[in-house]
Amino acid sequence: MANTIDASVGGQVLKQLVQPGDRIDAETEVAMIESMKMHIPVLAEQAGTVGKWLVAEGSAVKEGQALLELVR
Amino acid sequence: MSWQPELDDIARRLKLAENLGGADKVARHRANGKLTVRERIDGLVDQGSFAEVGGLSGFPEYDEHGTLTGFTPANVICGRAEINGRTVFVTGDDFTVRGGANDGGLREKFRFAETEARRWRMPLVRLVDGTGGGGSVKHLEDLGRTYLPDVPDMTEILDALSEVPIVALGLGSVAGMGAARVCASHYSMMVKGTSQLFAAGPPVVARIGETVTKEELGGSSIHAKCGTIDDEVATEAEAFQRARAFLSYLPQSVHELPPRAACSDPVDRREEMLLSAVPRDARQVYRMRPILTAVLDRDSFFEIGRAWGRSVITGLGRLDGWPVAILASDPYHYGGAWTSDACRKAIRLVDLAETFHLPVVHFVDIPGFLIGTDAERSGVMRYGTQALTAIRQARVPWCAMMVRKAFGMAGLSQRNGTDAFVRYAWPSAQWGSLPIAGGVDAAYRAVIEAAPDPAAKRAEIEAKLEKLQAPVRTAEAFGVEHIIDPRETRARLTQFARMAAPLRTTGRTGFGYRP
Repeated sequence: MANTIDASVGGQVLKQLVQPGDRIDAETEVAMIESMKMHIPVLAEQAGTVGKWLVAEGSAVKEGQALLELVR
Repeated sequence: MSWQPELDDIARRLKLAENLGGADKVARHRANGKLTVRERIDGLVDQGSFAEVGGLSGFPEYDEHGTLTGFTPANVICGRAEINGRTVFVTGDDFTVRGGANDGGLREKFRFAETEARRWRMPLVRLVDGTGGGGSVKHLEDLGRTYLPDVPDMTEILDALSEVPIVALGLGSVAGMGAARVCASHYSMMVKGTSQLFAAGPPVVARIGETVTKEELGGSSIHAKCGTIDDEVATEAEAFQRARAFLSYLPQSVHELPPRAACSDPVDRREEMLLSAVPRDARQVYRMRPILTAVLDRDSFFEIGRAWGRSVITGLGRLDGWPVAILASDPYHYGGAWTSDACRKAIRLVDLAETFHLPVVHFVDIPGFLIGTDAERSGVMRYGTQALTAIRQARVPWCAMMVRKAFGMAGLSQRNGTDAFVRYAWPSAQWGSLPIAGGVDAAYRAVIEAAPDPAAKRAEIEAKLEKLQAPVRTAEAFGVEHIIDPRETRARLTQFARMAAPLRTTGRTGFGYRP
């Protein structure tokens, strides 16, 4: 079953911190978003395997926008 | 000759009432992962404490000799019970009788169940599992007419929010009046997977062109994330446990004060992690919740509304046993900036505190209201101004712990409007009308542009201003009362709770509670 990890805040994607194929746990930092002049990590809500990225580094995202696919 | 025959008859009727809507209906209800209304009450209250009111009410069937041949109980089950030894009133809908809808109940019993708690100044717990108030449009044919919408005793039902604690659990698909009864509370929960809530359900929504399932329309995670309800829980048992815990922080009514609990946690406990809890790099976030649990009485933090308005953390806690309301920032969400939802969530917490006389502790790290087009379109300044108003209207004692940022109008939320106010700053604190980074370009544009190396000039100005921003400069002018070692936080807060206790006063607030 494919899920997504969504942006916890709106802002600019500074860095992708995980790569497709990575096994991650809940609470893993998957991306860094710049918002309100701060660097805000996006945490995985659940464990899984990283599928593909849906946004590129440097792109602007809205709160709730899907960042990457997570395969359970 | 004793009255035993009558007692035997009553016992038989109560036994029949235990069958609820019948074995088939009960089996289907359980198969859907739900407890029956009587199991719910047993799971909620102190064991054996439920004293039912109106257990004989319902719809009897008699033969031509007037002998009882069958009995369907009214689908509202209510009564008095104890939670942690304190009396509460409980009312639960029985979904197995006509889907918990009003036409399976007795109007007089519903009115009693909704108004009795307020009358006796005790909390009300609602176990909501009904499809609504109006029943079916088929009803029109029986009546031969229709009527203007109204609910008996609606004014009293809503006014009870300004008098007694009300906890509401959405435990099935609830619409219309059922949904409103969940929302008209101080603390509400829904159970993941087995409860949904909506103004109107999927068949009605299909008529406006949306084909959705109950879960897609009004599942618990939707409402927990937008703040229709306070919290989503995994099981009904968890909902009962949280309802009990919530009430433990509150008085029985606004005419009493919140009860102090026993406390074995040392009042001056120092946690070493607090010294480095806030990163020196201003762009880096940190976790606020471990800070809260480090300074509150051990295991006393009860978070409310975790899934919505997430740049603000709200909840209840204890300090030296005294119940307090907790407002805190979560830098993981917009660096702690107040969004429209965060403002609404803060209002809900502060109004709860003011209604039930809970002193407030605010752990402040607020870079401002959220900025940008999305924020403006969400009405952030309207809700922000409402939040500031709610905070200034609060008369309960207030303590501000300045953890990091406090900027702009949102920074005003640090304090209430009375003299019952105490404030401490951590050395990591910084504040002002405008953060330096955003303000330098605007204020020094001409100087920066005229310099041979504009970037270097900007850095030079920023460095100079940052020195002035150190909290100790404010303390020199008594603009902040004291800067403390973060490890002293618990000692200062427990002292605040003791100071605040005698200042708490009973009675209704100056405003009526709006859920």
